[in-house]
Amino acid sequence: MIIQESKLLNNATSRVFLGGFSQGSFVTLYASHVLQEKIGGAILISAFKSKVVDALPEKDELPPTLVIHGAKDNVKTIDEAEIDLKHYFQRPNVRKIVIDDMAHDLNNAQARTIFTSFLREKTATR
Amino acid sequence: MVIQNFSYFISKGKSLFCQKKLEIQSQFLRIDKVSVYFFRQNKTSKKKFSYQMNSVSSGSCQQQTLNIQITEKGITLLPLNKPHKYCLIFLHGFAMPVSKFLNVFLSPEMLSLLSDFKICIPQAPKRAHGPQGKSVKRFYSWYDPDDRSTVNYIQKIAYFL
Repeated sequence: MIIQESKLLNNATSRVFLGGFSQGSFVTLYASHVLQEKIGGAILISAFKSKVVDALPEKDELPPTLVIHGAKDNVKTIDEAEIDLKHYFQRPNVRKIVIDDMAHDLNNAQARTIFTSFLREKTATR
Repeated sequence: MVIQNFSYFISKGKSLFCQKKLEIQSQFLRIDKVSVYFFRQNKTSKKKFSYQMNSVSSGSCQQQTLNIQITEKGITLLPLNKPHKYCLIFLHGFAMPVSKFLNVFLSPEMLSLLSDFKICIPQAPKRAHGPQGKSVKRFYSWYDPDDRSTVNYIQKIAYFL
Protein backbone atom coordinates (compact mmCIF):
# COMPACT_ATOMS: atom_id res chain seq x y z
CA MET A 1 0.00 0.00 0.00
CA ILE A 2 2.92 2.33 0.79
CA ILE A 3 4.54 1.47 -2.54
CA GLN A 4 1.23 1.94 -4.31
CA GLU A 5 0.69 5.35 -2.73
CA SER A 6 4.31 6.43 -3.19
CA LYS A 7 4.01 5.73 -6.92
CA LEU A 8 1.44 8.52 -7.01
CA LEU A 9 4.03 10.74 -5.32
CA ASN A 10 6.98 10.21 -7.68
CA ASN A 11 8.08 7.11 -5.76
CA ALA A 12 8.83 9.19 -2.68
CA THR A 13 8.05 6.86 0.23
CA SER A 14 9.23 9.67 2.52
CA ARG A 15 6.01 11.46 1.62
CA VAL A 16 3.92 8.60 2.98
CA PHE A 17 3.04 8.59 6.67
CA LEU A 18 1.58 5.83 8.81
CA GLY A 19 -0.78 6.32 11.70
CA GLY A 20 -2.86 4.16 13.94
CA PHE A 21 -5.18 4.18 16.89
CA SER A 22 -5.10 1.49 19.62
CA GLN A 23 -4.91 -1.90 17.86
CA GLY A 24 -4.10 -0.03 14.65
CA SER A 25 -1.26 1.74 16.47
CA PHE A 26 0.28 -1.63 17.35
CA VAL A 27 0.19 -2.70 13.70
CA THR A 28 1.73 0.68 12.77
CA LEU A 29 4.37 0.23 15.47
CA TYR A 30 5.17 -3.26 14.22
CA ALA A 31 5.23 -2.11 10.59
CA SER A 32 7.63 0.75 11.39
CA HIS A 33 10.03 -1.90 12.75
CA VAL A 34 9.91 -4.21 9.73
CA LEU A 35 9.36 -1.92 6.75
CA GLN A 36 12.25 -1.61 4.33
CA GLU A 37 10.89 1.62 2.89
CA LYS A 38 11.87 4.88 4.53
CA ILE A 39 8.53 6.45 5.37
CA GLY A 40 8.04 10.07 6.40
CA GLY A 41 6.91 9.29 9.91
CA ALA A 42 4.51 7.41 12.14
CA ILE A 43 1.85 8.56 14.59
CA LEU A 44 0.63 6.22 17.30
CA ILE A 45 -2.47 7.10 19.30
CA SER A 46 -3.09 5.13 22.51
CA ALA A 47 -0.27 2.76 21.63
CA PHE A 48 0.63 -0.52 23.31
CA LYS A 49 2.52 -3.71 22.60
CA SER A 50 0.14 -6.57 22.02
CA LYS A 51 0.66 -9.75 24.00
CA VAL A 52 0.69 -11.72 20.73
CA VAL A 53 4.34 -10.79 20.27
CA ASP A 54 7.10 -11.22 22.84
CA ALA A 55 9.15 -8.34 21.56
CA LEU A 56 9.24 -5.93 18.70
CA PRO A 57 11.67 -6.77 15.89
CA GLU A 58 15.09 -5.11 16.09
CA LYS A 59 15.68 -2.12 13.86
CA ASP A 60 18.53 0.38 13.91
CA GLU A 61 16.75 3.42 12.60
CA LEU A 62 13.08 4.11 13.13
CA PRO A 63 11.06 6.73 11.27
CA PRO A 64 10.28 9.93 13.18
CA THR A 65 7.46 8.89 15.47
CA LEU A 66 4.90 10.72 17.57
CA VAL A 67 3.16 8.82 20.36
CA ILE A 68 0.06 10.41 21.89
CA HIS A 69 -1.51 8.82 24.95
CA GLY A 70 -4.33 10.00 27.19
CA ALA A 71 -3.80 10.21 30.93
CA LYS A 72 -7.47 9.21 31.34
CA ASP A 73 -7.11 6.17 29.09
CA ASN A 74 -8.50 3.28 31.09
CA VAL A 75 -8.41 0.72 28.27
CA LYS A 76 -4.63 0.86 28.14
CA THR A 77 -3.32 3.12 30.86
CA ILE A 78 -0.26 5.28 30.35
CA ASP A 79 1.53 3.25 33.06
CA GLU A 80 0.89 0.02 31.14
CA ALA A 81 2.06 1.64 27.91
CA GLU A 82 5.22 2.88 29.67
CA ILE A 83 6.02 -0.68 30.80
CA ASP A 84 5.15 -2.23 27.41
CA LEU A 85 7.13 0.26 25.39
CA LYS A 86 9.84 1.38 27.81
CA HIS A 87 12.74 0.73 25.40
CA TYR A 88 10.82 2.09 22.46
CA PHE A 89 10.14 5.41 24.18
CA GLN A 90 13.88 5.84 24.73
CA ARG A 91 14.66 5.70 21.01
CA PRO A 92 15.96 9.04 19.65
CA ASN A 93 13.33 9.50 16.94
CA VAL A 94 10.36 8.81 19.21
CA ARG A 95 8.48 11.69 20.82
CA LYS A 96 5.91 10.85 23.49
CA ILE A 97 3.15 13.24 24.55
CA VAL A 98 0.67 12.57 27.35
CA ILE A 99 -2.56 14.57 27.29
CA ASP A 100 -4.22 15.08 30.65
CA ASP A 101 -7.87 15.11 29.66
CA MET A 102 -7.72 12.51 26.91
CA ALA A 103 -9.27 9.06 27.22
CA HIS A 104 -9.04 6.09 24.82
CA ASP A 105 -10.25 8.00 21.79
CA LEU A 106 -9.41 10.85 19.46
CA ASN A 107 -12.18 13.15 20.65
CA ASN A 108 -9.65 15.57 21.97
CA ALA A 109 -8.89 18.83 20.20
CA GLN A 110 -5.40 19.09 21.70
CA ALA A 111 -4.47 15.61 20.45
CA ARG A 112 -5.76 16.42 16.99
CA THR A 113 -3.82 19.72 16.95
CA ILE A 114 -0.59 17.95 17.98
CA PHE A 115 -1.24 15.28 15.34
CA THR A 116 -1.62 17.96 12.65
CA SER A 117 1.41 19.95 13.86
CA PHE A 118 3.62 16.85 13.71
CA LEU A 119 2.66 16.17 10.11
CA ARG A 120 3.15 19.84 9.21
CA GLU A 121 6.56 19.81 10.88
CA LYS A 122 7.66 16.68 9.02
CA THR A 123 6.40 17.91 5.67
CA ALA A 124 7.79 21.45 5.99
CA THR A 125 11.17 20.41 4.61
CA ARG A 126 9.87 18.07 1.92
CA MET B 1 -22.02 26.31 27.73
CA VAL B 2 -19.77 27.66 24.99
CA ILE B 3 -18.39 25.68 22.11
CA GLN B 4 -15.58 27.37 20.25
CA ASN B 5 -15.71 25.19 17.20
CA PHE B 6 -18.85 23.46 16.11
CA SER B 7 -18.88 21.23 13.08
CA TYR B 8 -22.15 21.08 11.25
CA PHE B 9 -22.62 18.44 8.64
CA ILE B 10 -25.21 18.50 5.92
CA SER B 11 -25.57 15.54 3.66
CA LYS B 12 -27.74 15.38 0.60
CA GLY B 13 -28.89 11.90 -0.30
CA LYS B 14 -27.56 9.31 2.10
CA SER B 15 -27.39 10.79 5.57
CA LEU B 16 -23.86 10.66 6.93
CA PHE B 17 -24.45 12.51 10.13
CA CYS B 18 -27.39 13.08 12.37
CA GLN B 19 -28.37 16.52 11.19
CA LYS B 20 -31.46 16.87 13.35
CA LYS B 21 -29.56 16.04 16.52
CA LEU B 22 -27.06 18.77 15.75
CA GLU B 23 -29.84 21.27 15.10
CA ILE B 24 -31.37 20.50 18.48
CA GLN B 25 -28.03 20.87 20.22
CA SER B 26 -27.26 24.17 18.55
CA GLN B 27 -30.43 25.76 19.93
CA PHE B 28 -29.13 25.39 23.47
CA LEU B 29 -25.48 26.21 22.98
CA ARG B 30 -23.61 29.38 22.23
CA ILE B 31 -21.33 28.72 19.33
CA ASP B 32 -18.40 31.00 18.55
CA LYS B 33 -17.37 29.48 15.29
CA VAL B 34 -19.46 27.37 13.02
CA SER B 35 -18.04 25.12 10.38
CA VAL B 36 -20.56 24.02 7.81
CA TYR B 37 -19.88 21.08 5.58
CA PHE B 38 -22.01 20.58 2.52
CA PHE B 39 -21.94 17.12 1.09
CA ARG B 40 -22.94 16.36 -2.44
CA GLN B 41 -23.21 12.76 -3.42
CA ASN B 42 -21.64 12.11 -6.82
CA LYS B 43 -22.17 8.49 -7.49
CA THR B 44 -24.24 5.87 -5.81
CA SER B 45 -23.67 2.18 -6.10
CA LYS B 46 -23.96 -0.67 -3.67
CA LYS B 47 -20.25 -0.70 -3.01
CA LYS B 48 -18.99 2.82 -3.49
CA PHE B 49 -20.08 6.26 -2.41
CA SER B 50 -18.25 9.34 -3.47
CA TYR B 51 -18.90 12.76 -2.04
CA GLN B 52 -17.68 16.23 -2.70
CA MET B 53 -17.45 18.32 0.39
CA ASN B 54 -17.40 22.08 0.57
CA SER B 55 -16.54 23.43 3.95
CA VAL B 56 -17.31 27.00 4.90
CA SER B 57 -15.99 28.30 8.15
CA SER B 58 -17.72 31.42 9.43
CA GLY B 59 -14.69 32.43 11.47
CA SER B 60 -12.08 32.54 8.75
CA CYS B 61 -14.26 32.34 5.63
CA GLN B 62 -12.14 29.46 4.37
CA GLN B 63 -13.49 27.29 1.64
CA GLN B 64 -12.24 23.87 0.80
CA THR B 65 -13.45 21.22 -1.57
CA LEU B 66 -12.69 17.59 -0.94
CA ASN B 67 -13.39 14.28 -2.49
CA ILE B 68 -14.55 11.62 -0.05
CA GLN B 69 -14.73 8.03 -1.22
CA ILE B 70 -16.46 5.52 0.98
CA THR B 71 -16.24 1.86 0.08
CA GLU B 72 -16.42 -1.40 2.00
CA LYS B 73 -12.60 -1.39 1.98
CA GLY B 74 -12.36 1.95 3.74
CA ILE B 75 -12.49 5.69 3.34
CA THR B 76 -10.27 7.92 1.24
CA LEU B 77 -10.21 11.67 1.66
CA LEU B 78 -8.35 13.81 -0.84
CA PRO B 79 -8.26 17.33 -2.18
CA LEU B 80 -10.45 17.83 -5.22
CA ASN B 81 -9.02 19.15 -8.50
CA LYS B 82 -5.58 19.39 -6.97
CA PRO B 83 -2.84 16.75 -6.74
CA HIS B 84 -1.95 15.71 -3.21
CA LYS B 85 1.67 16.01 -2.03
CA TYR B 86 1.58 13.54 0.86
CA CYS B 87 -0.33 10.49 1.99
CA LEU B 88 -1.36 9.35 5.45
CA ILE B 89 -2.44 5.74 5.94
CA PHE B 90 -4.35 5.51 9.21
CA LEU B 91 -5.33 2.21 10.84
CA HIS B 92 -8.35 2.17 13.14
CA GLY B 93 -8.68 0.38 16.46
CA PHE B 94 -10.33 -2.89 17.47
CA ALA B 95 -14.04 -3.22 16.63
CA MET B 96 -14.21 0.23 15.07
CA PRO B 97 -15.87 1.02 11.77
CA VAL B 98 -13.80 3.50 9.72
CA SER B 99 -16.73 5.90 9.65
CA LYS B 100 -15.84 6.84 13.24
CA PHE B 101 -12.74 8.56 11.92
CA LEU B 102 -14.55 10.68 9.35
CA ASN B 103 -15.51 13.12 12.09
CA VAL B 104 -11.93 13.18 13.35
CA PHE B 105 -10.30 13.99 10.03
CA LEU B 106 -12.97 16.52 9.14
CA SER B 107 -12.61 18.30 12.48
CA PRO B 108 -11.46 21.95 12.44
CA GLU B 109 -8.05 20.94 13.85
CA MET B 110 -7.32 18.44 11.09
CA LEU B 111 -9.21 19.74 8.09
CA SER B 112 -6.26 21.86 6.97
CA LEU B 113 -4.25 18.67 6.36
CA LEU B 114 -6.54 17.91 3.48
CA SER B 115 -5.18 20.82 1.47
CA ASP B 116 -2.23 18.63 0.42
CA PHE B 117 -2.71 15.23 2.10
CA LYS B 118 -4.50 12.18 0.85
CA ILE B 119 -5.82 10.28 3.86
CA CYS B 120 -6.51 6.55 3.49
CA ILE B 121 -8.36 4.81 6.31
CA PRO B 122 -8.57 1.11 5.40
CA GLN B 123 -11.21 -1.07 7.06
CA ALA B 124 -9.94 -4.18 8.81
CA PRO B 125 -11.72 -7.44 8.01
CA LYS B 126 -14.34 -8.77 10.41
CA ARG B 127 -12.99 -11.72 12.34
CA ALA B 128 -14.18 -13.93 15.16
CA HIS B 129 -12.76 -12.85 18.47
CA GLY B 130 -12.00 -15.24 21.29
CA PRO B 131 -10.14 -18.45 22.07
CA GLN B 132 -9.31 -20.24 18.80
CA GLY B 133 -11.78 -18.06 16.96
CA LYS B 134 -14.77 -19.92 18.44
CA SER B 135 -16.56 -16.80 19.57
CA VAL B 136 -19.76 -16.12 17.69
CA LYS B 137 -19.15 -12.39 17.73
CA ARG B 138 -17.22 -10.94 14.86
CA PHE B 139 -15.43 -7.61 15.06
CA TYR B 140 -13.41 -5.41 12.76
CA SER B 141 -9.93 -6.39 13.77
CA TRP B 142 -6.43 -6.37 12.29
CA TYR B 143 -5.61 -9.59 14.18
CA ASP B 144 -6.99 -11.77 16.97
CA PRO B 145 -5.62 -10.23 20.17
CA ASP B 146 -6.10 -13.50 22.06
CA ASP B 147 -4.33 -15.74 19.59
CA ARG B 148 -0.55 -15.72 19.65
CA SER B 149 -0.38 -17.53 16.34
CA THR B 150 -1.90 -14.42 14.80
CA VAL B 151 1.55 -12.80 14.87
CA ASN B 152 2.11 -14.20 11.38
CA TYR B 153 -0.94 -12.28 10.32
CA ILE B 154 0.43 -9.06 11.79
CA GLN B 155 3.61 -9.60 9.80
CA LYS B 156 1.53 -10.03 6.68
CA ILE B 157 -0.33 -6.79 7.34
CA ALA B 158 2.92 -4.99 8.10
CA TYR B 159 4.38 -6.15 4.79
CA PHE B 160 1.11 -5.38 3.03
CA LEU B 161 1.51 -1.82 4.23
